[in-house]
Amino acid sequence: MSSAFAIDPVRRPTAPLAPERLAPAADPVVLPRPAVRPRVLAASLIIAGVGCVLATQLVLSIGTADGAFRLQALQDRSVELAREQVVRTEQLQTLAAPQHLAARAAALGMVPQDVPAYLTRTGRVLGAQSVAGASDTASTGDVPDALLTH
Amino acid sequence: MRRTRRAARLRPLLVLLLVVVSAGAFLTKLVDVQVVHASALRAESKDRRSQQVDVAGTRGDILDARGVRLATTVPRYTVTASPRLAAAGGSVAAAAKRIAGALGAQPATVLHELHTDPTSDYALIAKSVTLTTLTRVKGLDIPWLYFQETGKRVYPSGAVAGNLVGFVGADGRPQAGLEYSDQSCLAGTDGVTEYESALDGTAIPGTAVAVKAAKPGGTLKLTIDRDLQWYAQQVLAARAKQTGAKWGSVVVEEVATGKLLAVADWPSVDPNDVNATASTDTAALGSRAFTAPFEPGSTMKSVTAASLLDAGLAKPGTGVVAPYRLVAGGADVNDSEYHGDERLTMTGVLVQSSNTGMSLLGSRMADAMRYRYLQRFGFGTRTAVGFGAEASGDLGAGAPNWDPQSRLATMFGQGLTATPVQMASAYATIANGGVKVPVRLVDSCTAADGTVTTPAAPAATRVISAAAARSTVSMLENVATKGWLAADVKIPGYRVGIKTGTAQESDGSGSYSKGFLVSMAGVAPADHPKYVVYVDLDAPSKMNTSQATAPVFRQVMARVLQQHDVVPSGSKSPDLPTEW
Repeated sequence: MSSAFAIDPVRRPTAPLAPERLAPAADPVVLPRPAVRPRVLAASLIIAGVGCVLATQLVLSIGTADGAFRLQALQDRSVELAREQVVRTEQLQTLAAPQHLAARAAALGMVPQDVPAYLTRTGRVLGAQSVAGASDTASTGDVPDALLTH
Repeated sequence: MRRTRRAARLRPLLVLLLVVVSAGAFLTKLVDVQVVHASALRAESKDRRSQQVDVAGTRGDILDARGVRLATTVPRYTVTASPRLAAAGGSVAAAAKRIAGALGAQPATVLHELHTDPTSDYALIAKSVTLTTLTRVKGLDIPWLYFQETGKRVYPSGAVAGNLVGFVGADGRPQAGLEYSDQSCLAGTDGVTEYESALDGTAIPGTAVAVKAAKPGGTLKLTIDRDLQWYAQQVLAARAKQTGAKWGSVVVEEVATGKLLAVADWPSVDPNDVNATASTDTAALGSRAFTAPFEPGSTMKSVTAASLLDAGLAKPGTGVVAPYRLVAGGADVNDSEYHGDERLTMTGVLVQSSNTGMSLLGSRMADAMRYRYLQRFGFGTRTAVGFGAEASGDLGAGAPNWDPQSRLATMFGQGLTATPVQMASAYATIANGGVKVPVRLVDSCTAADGTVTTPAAPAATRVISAAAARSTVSMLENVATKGWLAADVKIPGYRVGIKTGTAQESDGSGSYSKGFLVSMAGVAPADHPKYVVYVDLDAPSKMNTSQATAPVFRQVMARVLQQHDVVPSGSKSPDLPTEW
């Protein structure tokens, strides 16, 4: 973790030096400066790098969290739609009951044809042509379905 | 100075000792918890933190021949509450009002449930709640309400095939019909799920683990065609009401396969509302077509005639002199209406439905032989369907023990009993060139893993020769064209063969009641028989003859032909002599 420090405090050039090395003091320019400059640069670079990594990490985690929220929302929607489908399927099954369809057809004025006849592609009629009329017995309403009345 | 140095040397040792001792203490406790008392502690913690709930294995659907659902299970929800937490939260009355509003219930009822035991963590608020209602209740966002999914059995077509499908009780247990008899196919296997719960008992999300997975039940597919079944029921019910009949049935069988395409009963039961039928007619909760045998009457004459033809003892043109009344060998039989001696052929005997004529013809065959024919046609034994409480019918004392009266009476369908399904099967045998194909109601059971099983059925057997069967159908055609109901049963373009029956009914104490059981059995198209329709109506007070059944027969048969795209052949029925 020491790499996080731009300047190693132990090795700081400002640390007390041995007295014998202080004696000449001929060329003061040589002393600390050449050692400090590159380290500050390196430190800045590292800080910037760490900053970049942290920023990227933050952006990524915000992105992931956002995706997770979206995923959750979609999953919730999926569950909701599945339930909706169950409800609609149940309604459809009830409405598709033959007695219900027959009652609707009868309400539209349709009557069952008891005398089947077929038309061939050549236009010939097989069976007896007849007009569909009221049958001998009522054609709807005698087979109960509690689901339709509830 | 020395003491200080020594103390300085000892200090790390002391620290080390302290660390070792405390580590040892922790290790001991760890071993104690993890190894020595592990299982006891685990059990204790489990009791405290985890809950086990049974997960119901969904019951399988019952489908018709085309895959339309006749019985299915839909999700419903149980709403419960914790009165203790509700009381702690305050404003219970206001919450009860909101809950009742969402449920469509009375606020007082909800409040009563919440007030019954305010210290309890359980109060049942509503059962069998639909998803739409549940969404409304959930929208209230009340933390002390809990919801549990349950299944409810529904029958989307109501009373259509209700007598066959049967029903389940409020507890979900099967009570009648195929729901009961095919329980092994339909029942799901319950599973167990374990979850960890918080202090107040609510499940901690994400902790649910299936200890044992629930297994859904199998799908039962029938041979019944729902739309035809509805039509048969509708036509039968309308006619039964019109003629004042007590009950009746219609059976439609496919000749080549033995499949029952429709078995209509009246009165019928709506499995969604069993009480409506149970309160008026308990016998109607099952299927009388299977469970209620009766003396079939003259429809049985075709069976006697077919047996005579097969044994070579008579031909369609074989003549007899049929009196109105025949007293012979201790037996006394007569025809329904007075007439002088008639010179009838066997065809004529069927067309006129002469009891005396059939008695004379049937006497040509030894009783034991006729008894065997009846048995081979399937009378006296349950059909291959094995419907719940299915009756076998009764051939009386049988040969050689029939008394003289029963000996003759059984030739024209009295003194023995049969179910409508047995009658349809006998006609299907004649229509199928003499080969009896076992009757089928259940097509298959498809288990949850996709394994398909078909119910075991006996092999098809030849009962009479193809020639005898063909001749019998020709005679039935003559009944349809020359009999007194010719106009009522005519389906233009098609050749139809029928036989009527007006049977005296046993009053249950050894004699006959005043009512008649009227019936009609027929095949079409007679030039190549594909379908058999059998109709019976019990005691139609406003029309006490087989004419009561004629429109039901004609309408159902026409619909069968139409629905299966049977093209009218346009050929003419044979004209067999009825007199000589």
